[in-house]
Amino acid sequence: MRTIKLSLCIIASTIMLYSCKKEQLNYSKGDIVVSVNTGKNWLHNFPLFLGIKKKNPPQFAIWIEDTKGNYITTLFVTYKIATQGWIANNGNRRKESLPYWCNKRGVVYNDGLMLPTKDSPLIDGITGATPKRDKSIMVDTKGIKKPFVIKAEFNHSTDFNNFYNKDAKKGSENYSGGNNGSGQPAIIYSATITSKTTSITLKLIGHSSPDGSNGKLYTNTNRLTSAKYIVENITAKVNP
Amino acid sequence: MRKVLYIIIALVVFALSVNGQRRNTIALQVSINQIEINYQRNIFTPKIWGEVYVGLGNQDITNSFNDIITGIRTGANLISKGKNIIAVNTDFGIYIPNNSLYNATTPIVGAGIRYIRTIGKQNKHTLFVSTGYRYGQKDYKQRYNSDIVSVESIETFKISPVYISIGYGFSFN
Repeated sequence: MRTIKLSLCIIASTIMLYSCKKEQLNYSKGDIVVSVNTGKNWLHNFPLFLGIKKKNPPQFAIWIEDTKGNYITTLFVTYKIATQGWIANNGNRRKESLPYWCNKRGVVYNDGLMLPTKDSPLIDGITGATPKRDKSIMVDTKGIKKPFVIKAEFNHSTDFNNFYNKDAKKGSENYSGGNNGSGQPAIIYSATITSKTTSITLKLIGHSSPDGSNGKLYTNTNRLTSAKYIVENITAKVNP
Repeated sequence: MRKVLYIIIALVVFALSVNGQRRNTIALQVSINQIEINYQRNIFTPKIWGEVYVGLGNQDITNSFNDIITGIRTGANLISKGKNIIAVNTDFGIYIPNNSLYNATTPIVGAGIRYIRTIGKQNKHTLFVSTGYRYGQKDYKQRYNSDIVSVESIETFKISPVYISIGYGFSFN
């Protein structure tokens, strides 16, 4: 009896001690902390089957460009985009998910699309799980001269509204991939980091191609509804 | 990884050091997030049992059934009428996500309730349904380094807290 109690105590104690270990970001002077603060539509009902829905967080990418719009490097990308890790997508590569970032990277894969594949997943930046709450990343831009631009692109699948609806005809301006498509297109945020920047909030600058057919920036966001509330705000703070 | 090995060894030692066993059961248990094989034997009395389990889970970033889960349960039969048994149990285990992006070996604690129905004339076969609550979460850090940029991120791996599983067991002495 004593042996069993002792064994249970040792196991329970080990488990508890191990679970208490907390990870922390290591900041240095000049590091930039990019924080994504979730909005009220961060989680979106994605239809599974038989009317059952699952609350999904959005796919997103955060990257750096120079002030002329040339892509420099990716900082963070969600797993499904970075590895083509969709489940039950029936071969649909979801090119409408983050087309602006894909085109900025400009890497063309074997099937002609600019999305990473299972066989050739993204190797730049961190590939991470899609967070269900606020998210921060720490960036040391050691080899990038200021000023530069931090951009972020977010998208929910099947995020339909009256204009970007599932019945839109292919080729029309509101077509976003059909029944299992994007709905409202991906939204894009941007901020320029200069040598004097201490803290800045990324601004909504537009949306990307609804059907993912190009890498243009569409600055008119009047037809976006719930997509504008995927994020509350995105900030970039320079560690003093 | 060495910690994990120690804990697994402790679990096995615990299971083998139990005295007074009267009945052994090997079972296969399945839920949406987990497939496991477990070995159960009585401790002291026919109403109290200990169980060692090992299985595969799909709760990490890849959603594939390739994560490893192992642990022990101790339980007690609360109600036993004819071929029907209702038992409660505690659960101590470890969840090891299996992917190339992060390490987040996660301890698990939990409690559950199990309905067991024995079948056959000699009561050698059992079917059961288990449900319960488990807690397990672990922070992990990811890093990316290149010539021009370094990036760090912290995320939390969390197992699904509520489970419902069904199983089949075969008992022998």
